[in-house]
Amino acid sequence: MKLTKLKAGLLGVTAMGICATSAMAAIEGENWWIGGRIKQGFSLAYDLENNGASKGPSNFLLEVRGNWRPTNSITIKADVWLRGDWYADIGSDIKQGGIQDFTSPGFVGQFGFNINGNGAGFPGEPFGSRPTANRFFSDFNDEMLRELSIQFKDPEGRFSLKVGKFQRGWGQSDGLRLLDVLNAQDLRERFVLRDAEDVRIPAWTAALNLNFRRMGLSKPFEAIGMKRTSLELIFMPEVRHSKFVINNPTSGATSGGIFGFPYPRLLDSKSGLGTAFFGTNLTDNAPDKFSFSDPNLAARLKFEAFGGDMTLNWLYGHQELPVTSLQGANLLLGTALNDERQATAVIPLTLDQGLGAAHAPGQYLDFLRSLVSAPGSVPFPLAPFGCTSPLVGAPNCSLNYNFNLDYDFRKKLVGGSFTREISELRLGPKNVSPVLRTEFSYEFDKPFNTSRVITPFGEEENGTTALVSAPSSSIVFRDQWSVMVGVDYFLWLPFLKNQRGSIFTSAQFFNIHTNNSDNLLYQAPYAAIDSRVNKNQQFATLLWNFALYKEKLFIEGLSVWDISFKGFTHRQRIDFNFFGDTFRPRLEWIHVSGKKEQGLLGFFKNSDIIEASLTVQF
Amino acid sequence: MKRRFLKSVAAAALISTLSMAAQAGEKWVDDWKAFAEKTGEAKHAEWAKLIGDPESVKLAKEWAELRGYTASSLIEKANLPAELKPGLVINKDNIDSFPWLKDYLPQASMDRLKSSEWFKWGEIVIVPTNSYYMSRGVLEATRKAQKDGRKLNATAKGNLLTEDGKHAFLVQNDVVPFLHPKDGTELNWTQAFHSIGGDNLAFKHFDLKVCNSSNKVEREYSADLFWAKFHNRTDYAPLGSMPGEETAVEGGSVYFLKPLDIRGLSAVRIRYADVDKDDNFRVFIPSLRRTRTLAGSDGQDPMAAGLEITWDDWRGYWTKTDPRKFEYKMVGEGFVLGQPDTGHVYVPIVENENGCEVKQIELELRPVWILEVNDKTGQYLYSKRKLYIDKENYYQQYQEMYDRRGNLFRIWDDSRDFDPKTGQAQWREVLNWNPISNRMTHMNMNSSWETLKKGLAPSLFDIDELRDYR
Repeated sequence: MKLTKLKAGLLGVTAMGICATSAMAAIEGENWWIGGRIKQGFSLAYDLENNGASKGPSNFLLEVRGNWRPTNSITIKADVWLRGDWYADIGSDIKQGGIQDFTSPGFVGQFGFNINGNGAGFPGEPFGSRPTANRFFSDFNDEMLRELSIQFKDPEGRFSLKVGKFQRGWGQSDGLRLLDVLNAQDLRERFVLRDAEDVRIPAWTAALNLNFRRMGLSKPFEAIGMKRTSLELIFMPEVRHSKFVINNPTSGATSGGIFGFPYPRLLDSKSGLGTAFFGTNLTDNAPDKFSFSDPNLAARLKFEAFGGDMTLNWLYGHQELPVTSLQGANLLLGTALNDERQATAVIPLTLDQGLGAAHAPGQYLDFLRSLVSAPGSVPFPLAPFGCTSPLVGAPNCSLNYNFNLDYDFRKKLVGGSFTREISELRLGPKNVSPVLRTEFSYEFDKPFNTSRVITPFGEEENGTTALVSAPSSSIVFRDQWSVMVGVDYFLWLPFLKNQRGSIFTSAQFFNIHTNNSDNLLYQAPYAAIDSRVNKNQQFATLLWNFALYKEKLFIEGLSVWDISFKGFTHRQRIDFNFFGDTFRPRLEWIHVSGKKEQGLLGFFKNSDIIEASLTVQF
Repeated sequence: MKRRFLKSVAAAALISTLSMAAQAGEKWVDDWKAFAEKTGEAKHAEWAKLIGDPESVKLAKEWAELRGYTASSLIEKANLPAELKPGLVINKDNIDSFPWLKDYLPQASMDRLKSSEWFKWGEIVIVPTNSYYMSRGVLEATRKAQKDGRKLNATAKGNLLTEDGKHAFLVQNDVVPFLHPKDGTELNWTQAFHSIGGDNLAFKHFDLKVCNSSNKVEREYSADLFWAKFHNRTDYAPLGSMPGEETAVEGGSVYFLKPLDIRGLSAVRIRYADVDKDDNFRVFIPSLRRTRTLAGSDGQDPMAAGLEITWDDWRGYWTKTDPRKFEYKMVGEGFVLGQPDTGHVYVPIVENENGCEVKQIELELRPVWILEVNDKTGQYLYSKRKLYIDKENYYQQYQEMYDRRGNLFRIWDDSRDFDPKTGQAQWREVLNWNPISNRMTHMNMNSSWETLKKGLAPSLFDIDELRDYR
């Protein structure tokens, strides 16, 4: 295959970058240091919904980090990266599902949506978009600046204050976040399967750490068995929410590549038909990004008790994932494909009008359902606008509902963690004790979209059609508590006499309990049948790693089971550290299986990749 | 040529000044002066000057008085080969002409000299024997304990207790437990007491180089490392006990600087006095940006990938004393050739360009007790450790570690950064090699005395603060 000039150029840029970086060395003085890395990956995506295997994401990263420690009490850190993905330029086009296909039987099929291509035109593949937004994540504050902080430490160790842009990890859980909720996550590149550090979105923050023992305030705590007590106070005026892309064909189509969230299936639970001619315009509704009056606040009391480390945590933050809230709709004349650019007229509808268009007697849902019971018994409701009924001719109108992805709800959470080496238990040939990790969180009034509403017209709606309802009835609040129990163990094999190093193993079990969980959507707008919140949602994880060939071949596996939704993912990494400390080649395999749209893993069931990457660091 | 001439003149001038100023009479000082004069090397002259300083000599003599001997006096009494004296150069060509050498130089070191392939040593130069000792604070406390007739009880369980049942390392960690150890148990406790050789350690930086069997550098790490004794501190603030560390004996931290992919990896490890209380071992993992508790009961993993050094090998020997798991046996005494602790002035090794081979290594003859630590469990990483414990400062001069099959697995030979004026010591350089896989970890420590003077910040031992060290 001939490379286009652009492709050749991009590869050239990468190759030159890698060569240039390999010749570089970190520069440093006694109290300062500047280093960095460049990483380029190329992947093969397989197990795709329609295409088998194709060229997948080609993520790259350029990072420069530095620090300066002018005195023992002050540390200044900076970290800037530019990352992105050449997928839009050199990746294959991959077809996913789009809006409901009104030519398919019962409208239950979906039109294809090319996540790296333009639409080929009706009726084959009417929609498409290139994920060019992922090419460079180049917004300096939002995407490039990873850290710019100054920390002052009291020489006596009584307190420290860190101010600036940075991230802070809390809790003991890996993979799923119970207490590690101070920073939102960037899910655009590989969902949560990157390193936690790379997934977290840093925010402008002030963190004050008070060491009660050194401040002479520990007596009351020690009296009740709390030793080495310290308190961390977090003030976060910059409120960020998690970043992701929905592969949305509607109007200004957006694509996030194979790690974009697939467009949801829109099905009417009563008739079993697809809600043809429905599309969605999605708009973020986020709180003020930078606000001293409405910041995120958090505190963590840390101490030793019962032979281990304990924390008590509190967060008054914001939701990092959205609920949908309907704002109104646009009626599109002249196009049945929900593309406002192709419409001859766009008629905005208010929220009430939008609700009426779906639910009022004789309107869309009545018409749709009549197709099953008595076709033609309900007149086509858009006929007064000059729209052709699909029963009599080529449809030429569609309706886009305008949803906010609403992040403007507070996250109110308390929790705690406990970690302890179980010295009483000595296992294996080396008599090594396991380390117990537990974590608990309780979130008050967590917002959910409900999958069951009573419409203003007295009808009960479930699933997709329940999304078309006023926010006052579609958003409900529930308390949720979560528990994680994990064990870390350094495994020495009894039959391997000269094992150089142990195999690190870490297993976790999660139970997430939602009070009064009936009829809650796991994550709107995914409203397919069974995509509901379970009363007890359970996950298990297993992480292991070991090194071979004198620790040059480093192998790490991470498996996650979504027990409740029967999903599974595995990330396998193999690092080939055979080429000194500058070059870090890696093979990474990500496999996801699950039921479509069910649970976290079901979203990415067709996002399997094998990636080869090279990092050059200095 | 001109440069060399100037160097020689400078060295000669220094030696001549020394000769005039020095007080005659201390054998190790006289031997070093003579040796420096003979070699004409400024580094030797500078070392001779330092050990000949009245302050150094005074402290050395007081320790000698307490112990009842010096290394030099023990050597004088011994029946040693006449050829084994300062200035002797041993190389591949003449090593076989010294049949007595095997009694003083462990085979693992002789093999390096004879090797024409992996981890070659070009030549060994025998330097004069020094006098090594610990600090004045330890001297005075030990002297007082002797006077008071204090006795210690090394229990079968593995605790060292005072007469009133307290852990010795929590209440009198400035007293050498057994000045003249009678058996392996006492010898082990005495070497365990030596610990880091002072109140604190500060390495800025601590460079580790992993060399493979082709004498190529395979990996390089760089870290800053800090360590502190928590009780009976005599030299650096806080004197006495570190607040809030009632049950811990010592602790330290390490913050990795290189390579980039592990930069920021940091660990704090605290050791408790009680044999049954595992170390508190917390690690900050940069890729998670979170602190994790690791098993303090596992000291057998390498400190970082590819290194020959495990946590239990840190500072030579850091396995927790436990007679239920190990047998401590004093198998003899004698002399061994180990690297001199001249690191305060110079490194006694001239290495090749990449640091994977040795062009020249200086060794000095040291009087030692030989301690064998035999694994009773049948599962420990090493079936046996053989430590050559120095009779002057109770630190190992040389160590051999044997694998489960009984093969020599690793060797530790180091040079301390010993300050003769104060008796305090850090480390300067370590050779840690594996003759089975033919790999070598070469450690170079840059001891930061300045940091010790300023005091180690408490935040260095708090993992949640250490993460922002750099």
